[in-house]
Amino acid sequence: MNVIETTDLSVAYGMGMALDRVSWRAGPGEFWAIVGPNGSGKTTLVKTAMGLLQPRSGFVTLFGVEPRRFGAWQRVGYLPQFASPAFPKFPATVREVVALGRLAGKRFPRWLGAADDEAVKSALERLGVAGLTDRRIGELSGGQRQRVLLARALVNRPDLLILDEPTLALDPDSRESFYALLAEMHRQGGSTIVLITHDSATAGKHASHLLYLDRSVLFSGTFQDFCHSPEMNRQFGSVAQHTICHQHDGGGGSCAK
Amino acid sequence: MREVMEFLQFAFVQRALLSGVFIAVGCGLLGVFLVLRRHSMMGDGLAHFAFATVGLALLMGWAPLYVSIPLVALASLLILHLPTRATMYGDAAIGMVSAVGVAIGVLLSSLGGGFSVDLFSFLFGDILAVGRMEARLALGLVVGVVVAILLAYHELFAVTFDDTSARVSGIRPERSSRLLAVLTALMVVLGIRVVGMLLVSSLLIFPAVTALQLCRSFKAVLVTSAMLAALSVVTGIFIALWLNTPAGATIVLVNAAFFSASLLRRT
Repeated sequence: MNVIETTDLSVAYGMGMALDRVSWRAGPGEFWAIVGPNGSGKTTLVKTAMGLLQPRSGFVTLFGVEPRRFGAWQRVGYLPQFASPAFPKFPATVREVVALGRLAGKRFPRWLGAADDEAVKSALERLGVAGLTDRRIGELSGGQRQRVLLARALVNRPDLLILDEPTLALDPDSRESFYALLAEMHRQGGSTIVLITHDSATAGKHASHLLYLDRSVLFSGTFQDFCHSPEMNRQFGSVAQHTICHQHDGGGGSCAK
Repeated sequence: MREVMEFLQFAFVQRALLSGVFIAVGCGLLGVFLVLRRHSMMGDGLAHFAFATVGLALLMGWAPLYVSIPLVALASLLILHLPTRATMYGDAAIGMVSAVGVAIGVLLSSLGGGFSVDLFSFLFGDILAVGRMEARLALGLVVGVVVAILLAYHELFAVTFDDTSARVSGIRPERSSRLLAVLTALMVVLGIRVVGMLLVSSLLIFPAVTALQLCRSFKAVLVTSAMLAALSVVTGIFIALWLNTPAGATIVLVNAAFFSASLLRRT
């Protein structure tokens, strides 16, 4: 069963189409990078897959279920594009923020117990931020904050992890260490990762599959296929294709030039 | 001081303290969510709307509490609903509902003529005049509000922190928003007795903002806000009895003093 599947999915904001007949499948254990220009529908696609937006036409399923009927939210970890606007002044400790992830899949009143405390502790240790447990979230640096939010997304050891431009506000060192951590977790855990990014070079370095969107699908498949596709070469130009594929090959350079 | 302690023997002072503390605890808890969701002025808008409901009750000769609770609760839902139906933000909806409430209140007041003095006591609060039945009702409602907040604590916290991520946890932010709006309406109506319509939003805002200066965790902010609200009411009532000042205004000024002290502690 595919983790996310869309068939002829169209989404509109008012009169403007954000997605136009997008068909795409993300399978178990795959690491997808979704790239494309601003306004190409990357965030719209994942938000529709999670039921945050409603399609105008077409179908979308999450683990084989329509998002509005989906209930096993503990299987999904999500790191949104923009952190809460209240963040800098919000009175929440790192422990409290990560514990929010444990509410997924619980029934009202969603009380947390010892097993949840243990899961929070384990996620913080895994992400290397256990020392920040009692710090206020607003006091952390951008890199530390992203690790904490990633810990929240991972606290249930989800089968699907969706990251929407997670390194947007990070410096190059923090960005590299964030992606290295992500790649390591993917190797160990085997969950499906969907990463939205503008940084196609980094995407090429870590992801196994590429979805190139510009409201409709320009390319969907493995990096190998992308790198060896003369059609993609014609469409994006050899420099753009080389930038992505050079990183994917670890500098080896098996790209079609 | 001995005179003030002697006041404690009076039933009306005991009722004022007890109902005031309970109402303050409810306001202190709810205020944290309102302030962090940037709905601080919701209390102010609902209090202004209550001007109309109290006016209606006095005109008809009904008990203001029974008229105000359902009507102000409906107004709170209207404030939530308006921005989803019309092109506007939440603060504009608060302003509009508030203005309509005051306008209707003024209209009813001019029609009624004779009840302006009663209306005045609702504008500025008169906690020392709380009757036995009113105190019991207030206690029951406040207990209900506190239990609702405790039960919905995790959902309210999640939605307040980040409603998009809360949705991906299977939480429905609309449900939490409606719950908060109705609970706020209840506390505003009850709070009017303590500090009056013009000042009731201070019971929702001051303790929460003061607690935000002092605490790191969400739970600590909630507990501290409730405690500060209760302490401000008790201190305010004692000072009012001691100096023979209006209780509502004194409670607000005590809250302002607490906030100033919290700023000094930070610096």
